[in-house]
Amino acid sequence: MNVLIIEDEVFAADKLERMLKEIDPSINILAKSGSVKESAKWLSGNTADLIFLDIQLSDGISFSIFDQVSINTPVIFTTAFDQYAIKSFPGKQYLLLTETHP
Amino acid sequence: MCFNNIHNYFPFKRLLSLLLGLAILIQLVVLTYHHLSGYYILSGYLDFFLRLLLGSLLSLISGFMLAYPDLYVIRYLNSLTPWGEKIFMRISLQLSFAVFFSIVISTTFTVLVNWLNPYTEDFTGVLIYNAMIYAVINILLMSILEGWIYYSESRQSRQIAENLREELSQIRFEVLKSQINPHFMFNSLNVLSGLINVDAAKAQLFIDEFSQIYRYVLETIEQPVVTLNRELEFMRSYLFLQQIRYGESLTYSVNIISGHLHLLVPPLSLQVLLENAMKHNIVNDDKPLKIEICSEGDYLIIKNPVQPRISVTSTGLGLKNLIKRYALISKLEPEFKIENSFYIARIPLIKVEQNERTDN
Repeated sequence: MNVLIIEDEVFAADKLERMLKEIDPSINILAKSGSVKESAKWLSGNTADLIFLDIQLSDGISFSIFDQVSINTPVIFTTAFDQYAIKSFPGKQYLLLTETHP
Repeated sequence: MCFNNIHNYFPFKRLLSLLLGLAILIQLVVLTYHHLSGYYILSGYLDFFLRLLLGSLLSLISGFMLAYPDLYVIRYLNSLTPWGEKIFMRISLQLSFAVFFSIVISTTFTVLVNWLNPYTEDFTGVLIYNAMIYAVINILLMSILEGWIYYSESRQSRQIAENLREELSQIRFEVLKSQINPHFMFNSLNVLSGLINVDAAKAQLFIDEFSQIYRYVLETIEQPVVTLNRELEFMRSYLFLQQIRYGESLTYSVNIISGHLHLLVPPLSLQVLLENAMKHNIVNDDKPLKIEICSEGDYLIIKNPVQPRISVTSTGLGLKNLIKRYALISKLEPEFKIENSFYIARIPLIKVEQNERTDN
C-alpha cells in the first residue's frame, strides 16, 4: 500500500511512519509533507492509496488542500481536534476512531 | 459649588430622610419639654400639630443649612487626611467647624425669628441658648453623616476588593490553563518521543528543559511579576524546545540592555507573545521565522516578520489575559502594531518601586 503522510510536526510524522512499518513492513510511505503548499504540489502530480492528514499544518489548515486539488483517496485524519474531522466534507463517509487502551 | 457632586458623595434622598427624621424628632422633644416645663403650654392638638409642622419645617431648613457645609467639610477633610492619620487634629477641626457653622446659622435664624415675632425674654439669652442647641445638634449631625459616609465607603471598598480577588483568580486560572493546553503538551511529548530513539542525549536535555518550563509555571503563578532576567531564562528553555520541534525554521536573537534585567514583567508574558508569533505565522523550511527580542526605552520588544497562517487554536485569550494582568499592576499598557510587514509587540518593563512584591 502506498501512503502519504501530511503532518507538520516532523517528529509526529516520523512516529506515524514507524508505527505503520511496525503494523506492516510492506507499507510504502511515499512522502511526508508539512504544509498546504507542499501537499497540494505533491498531490497534483502523484497519487496514494491512503492519506494520513493532520488538520493544522505549518502554513494553514489542511482542508484548503482540497480547494486546490480534488482527490478520491480515503483519508485518515490524525488530529486531537475531532470536531474538525467531523465537520468534514458533506456526502463523504467518515468514521471517528479514538485510541483505547486495554 | 457644584451640588451634583456632593450628592454623589451622599444621596439627596438619604439626606432628606435623615434631616426630616431629625427635625421632627427634635421638634417633638422641644415641644414636649416646653409644654411640661411651662415655657409654652400647648392649647390643644391642633396647636400641637401646627407647631410641630412649622417647627419641623424650620428645623428641616436649618438642617439643610447645616448639613451641606458639614458634607463639604467632611469631603474636603477626607481627601486631605484619610481616616487613620492625625485623628486628633481631624476631630478637633471637624468639631470646630461644626460649632462655628451652628453658631452662624442659629444666630441668623434667631435674628430672623426675632424680627418676625420678637422674643419677650432676654434676646442675648435666647441667642446663646439657640446657639448651644444648634451646636449640639450639628455635632450630632456631623457625626451621623461622617459615620454613614465611612460605612458606605468601607462597604464599597470591600466589594471592589472582592471583585478584584475574583478576577485575579480567574486570570491565574486562565494562565495555568494555557500552559497545560494539550497542544503544547502533546506536541512537546511527540517531539520527545521522536528524540528518544534517535538522540538519547538530546532527549535527556529536552526532558530537563521541559520540566524547567513547568517548574517555572508553578513557581510564578502566584506572583504578579518576575524579573526580566528570570523570564528570559525561562524563554531560553521554551525556545530551546521550540527549536527542536521546528528545526532550523525557527531562529531568534536576544538584545537586552543589562540595565533592564532587574526590571519586572508578569510571568510568562514572553511565552504568550512567542507562542502567538509561532501560532499565527508560517514556520517551515520554505518560510523560516526569525524572532527578535530586544529592549528599548522602558519596553520589551518582540518583533517578527508577518507571514500569516490560519490557525485553528487561536482564541485571542492569551493577549487579553496579558493585558488584564498588566492593568492590575501598572498604568502602562502593552502595545501591538504592524509596521513594515513586521509584527511588533511592546510590553512595559515595570520599575521595582512601583511594586511591593518582587521575586529573587
